Amino acid sequence: MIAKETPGMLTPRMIKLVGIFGLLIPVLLISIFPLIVMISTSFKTSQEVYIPPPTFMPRAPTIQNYLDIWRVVPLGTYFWNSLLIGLGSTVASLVLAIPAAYALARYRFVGKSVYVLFLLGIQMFPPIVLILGLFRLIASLNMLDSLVTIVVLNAIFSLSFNTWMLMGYFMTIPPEIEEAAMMDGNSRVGAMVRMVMPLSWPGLVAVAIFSFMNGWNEFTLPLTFLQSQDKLPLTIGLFKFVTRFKVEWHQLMAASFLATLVVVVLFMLVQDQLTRGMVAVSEK
Amino acid sequence: MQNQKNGLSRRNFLKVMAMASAPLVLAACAAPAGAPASGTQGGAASQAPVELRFVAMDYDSRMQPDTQAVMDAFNKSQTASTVKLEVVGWPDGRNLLLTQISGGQAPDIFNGSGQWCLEFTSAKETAPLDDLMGKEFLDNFWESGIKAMTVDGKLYGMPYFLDPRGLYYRTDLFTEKGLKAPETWADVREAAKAISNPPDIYGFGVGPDDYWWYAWIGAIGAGNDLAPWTQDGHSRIASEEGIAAVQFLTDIVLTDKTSQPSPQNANRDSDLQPLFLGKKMAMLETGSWMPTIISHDAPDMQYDLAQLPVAKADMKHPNVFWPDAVMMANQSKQKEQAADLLKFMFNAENRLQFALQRGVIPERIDVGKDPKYVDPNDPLTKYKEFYVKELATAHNVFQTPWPATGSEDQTSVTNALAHIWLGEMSVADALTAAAKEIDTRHKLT
Repeated sequence: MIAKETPGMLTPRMIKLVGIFGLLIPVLLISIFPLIVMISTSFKTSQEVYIPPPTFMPRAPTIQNYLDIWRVVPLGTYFWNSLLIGLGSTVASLVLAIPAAYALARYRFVGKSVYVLFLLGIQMFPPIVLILGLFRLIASLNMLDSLVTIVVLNAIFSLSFNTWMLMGYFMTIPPEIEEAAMMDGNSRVGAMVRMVMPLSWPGLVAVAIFSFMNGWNEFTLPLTFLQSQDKLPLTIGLFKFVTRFKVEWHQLMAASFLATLVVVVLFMLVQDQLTRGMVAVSEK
Repeated sequence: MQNQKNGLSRRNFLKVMAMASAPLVLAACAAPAGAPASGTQGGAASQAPVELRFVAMDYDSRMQPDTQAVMDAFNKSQTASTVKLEVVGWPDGRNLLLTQISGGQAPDIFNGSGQWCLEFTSAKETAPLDDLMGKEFLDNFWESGIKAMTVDGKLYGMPYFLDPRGLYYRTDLFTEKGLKAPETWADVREAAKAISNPPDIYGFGVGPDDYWWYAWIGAIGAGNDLAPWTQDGHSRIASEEGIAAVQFLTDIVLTDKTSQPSPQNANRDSDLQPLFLGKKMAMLETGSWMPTIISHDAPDMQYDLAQLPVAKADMKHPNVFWPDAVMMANQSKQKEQAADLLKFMFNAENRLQFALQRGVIPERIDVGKDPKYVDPNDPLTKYKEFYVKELATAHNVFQTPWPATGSEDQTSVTNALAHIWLGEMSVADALTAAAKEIDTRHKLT
């Protein structure tokens, strides 16, 4: 027997929806609260930042901070350097991670399970633990103050995660597809490039995004290895607004918003592939 | 099963590799690899200028361009050396320097707090400057600043940022309540009680670290021994004066309840100064940089400046400072040229500019008297004059012999204050325990 809906009566479906939204909306508000504060502060003057009580809506909104930050620090240079580090480390890491992950997904060899566990374990090493040894190594190679150094180190540090993720994704692809390709005359590498990689596009995008974000957000390595102002990335550049006796909140928030915008736009562009890639790996 | 003939062609493989390498190539183009390490020569020719590195911790957003201008002027002024400036943030500056020093890549010149100066000096990583700078040159500086950077009779840092402190109070609120400028602890408590109306306004800013020092020297008074150690190295924090100092702060926090919330976690720069700038605090002890910040962030604020309060009316007002230094690395292979850079940085003209730009107290005697510094038309001049006068007798927190455990000892005091203000321990018990902890650390029990 189906219950007849009458106007004004809460159906089970409506109750479920109210429950879901009742839970999600507060979570959403809590999640975006820092973002709202950042955007709001970025449109305030330095004086208004300190006027109590703090307000979400600036009393006298101004875009001056967005104009000033380009003059106070070389923000364009910082953006460009971050982009180079992010893209460079992503590509370098993928070039190494793809064959490694493919081999782990397809071949059996002695010590494979130990190696896979090693890949997982190595991600627990924060770069800061190795920083002194790395500094001596890089100095001895005369590679201090070079963006290439940051790209290479970032790629190395994200390699284990990328390999692990891609291995999981490659395992979701039936090996029969490659076998068919090889029957048609492709080599193993050819089958990987022509069949596996196109089918792995969502997984590759997901890994590339994580890798790019690692490079984009990296702080310790550029701080330690870069010296020239014209080579610093955004993460270090934003720190210029945090000085010894004062934080220039209004400018810091404006610059942070612009820095966040890049990642947000990137996410929006590849959201579908990212979700599919993540789901595929988790299902495996 | 495999057919090599129909595998990935060489052309396609090269295409993939070329595309993959593009960002790396771009990065390489943007960054000619291999910054010369400190101590390397700028060129093969013996007469080529040597390259110096100056790692500067920043004080404000103008530090980079202002300091770069000085470096550019130095580079133009002579041909023996060229200096490369690297400005880094304070919060990570010490670790960065430690990494560079450990890796044999120390900059020739760097600035930092007086505490770092003592730490690096104890590790023999700083070069003595007396002979390099010369007595005649050093005679231009306040003795308190030079003494602050002197260890075992040798000068290891040029005083760079001297920061005596004062009590800022809101004159509009004081006038409204008919109060006079506070001079003693009793005045401070009375004013705080009269004005405090949380959460709209808090009477008196209280925190650990600096705020313990203000109370400590206020309990003893100028002209007396302000060091927190006895001659034989034992901690004095649980002495009669030490207990009186913390009791004063505790009365404000727990008895009068006129401080801001959570004083045990309060940070001067990120918590207390913003409260004062936001006009939510009636009185705050802080440094000589504050008038510059107020003139920028709260220009309509009505305030004045008083000496740090003392326990009793018949005491002389003491002052205290945490000096910063510019140091020369012992690893520097071109100390003569680095000394020339130091002399240029510390000439009267450059130090005048630095003092005006940063709002700090000049360490050169002549700059403190310069009409451009004490401009009668500048509304901030009266504060500058106040601090120049205070600097002459201010106590250096890092006064030697600063124990190697100085930072940890301060943490013991901070922890004791937290126990007291959270109501977990009495003042005497917490300080006695902290003093014992410090003495044990110094192997004096």
